[in-house]
Amino acid sequence: EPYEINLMEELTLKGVTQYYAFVQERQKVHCLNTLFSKLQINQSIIFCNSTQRVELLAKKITELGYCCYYIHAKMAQAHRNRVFHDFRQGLCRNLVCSDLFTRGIDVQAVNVVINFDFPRMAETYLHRIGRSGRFGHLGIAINLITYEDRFDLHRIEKELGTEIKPIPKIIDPALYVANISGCSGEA
Amino acid sequence: SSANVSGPDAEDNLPEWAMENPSEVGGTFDASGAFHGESGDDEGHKIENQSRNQSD
Repeated sequence: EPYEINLMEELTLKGVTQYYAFVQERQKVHCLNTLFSKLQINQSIIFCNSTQRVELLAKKITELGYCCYYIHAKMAQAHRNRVFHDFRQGLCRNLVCSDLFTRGIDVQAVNVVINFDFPRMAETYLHRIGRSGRFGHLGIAINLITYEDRFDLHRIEKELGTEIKPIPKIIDPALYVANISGCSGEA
Repeated sequence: SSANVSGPDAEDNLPEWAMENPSEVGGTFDASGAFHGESGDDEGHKIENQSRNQSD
């Protein structure tokens, strides 16, 4: 039986409710801390735009008292694989990383994706937030947007034909917590 | 997991948030999606912290 290794399924944003929060650069960690305390995170992936920022942010999150792994492109592949395997096993709730996912996130338990740094390219945004499979995935994506990111936000929205709304004070758990909505996590 | 940034000018190219001490008090978001962190300019209500060590 031949083993198919590259199915190249379409990535979709279906089922993922996307929000943005306007924030100043120096307040980003405070904003992230606020999100951690407001959201019902099953598992989260947090994206940064450089390997240095990945390591710095992981250190900050750990200092705040949250469990957090990190992986980035400059780590040895074997080390990355081991950390990601442990994350997928659920050994840690939060993963900080740079752009490594080319076929979308295939970890069902991840119900929150945070762009701590907003990407420049629509393709990068799709690889970070998008899920493979026709039904997509129940979850939310939150984009931290600085003054400099505002044009990228609107351009990527247009390019992907998607909608990214201002983050509300309270986010309906049914949008991203599977057992509340009574469905198995498919949109 | 200590950051591998060292040397005399390391402080210069650190992002601003890396040098801030995130206050314990939670912030809030207004209707436009803007984050308000300083307690001075928002209601600054205290958000009870969930259990911090969420490793299960």
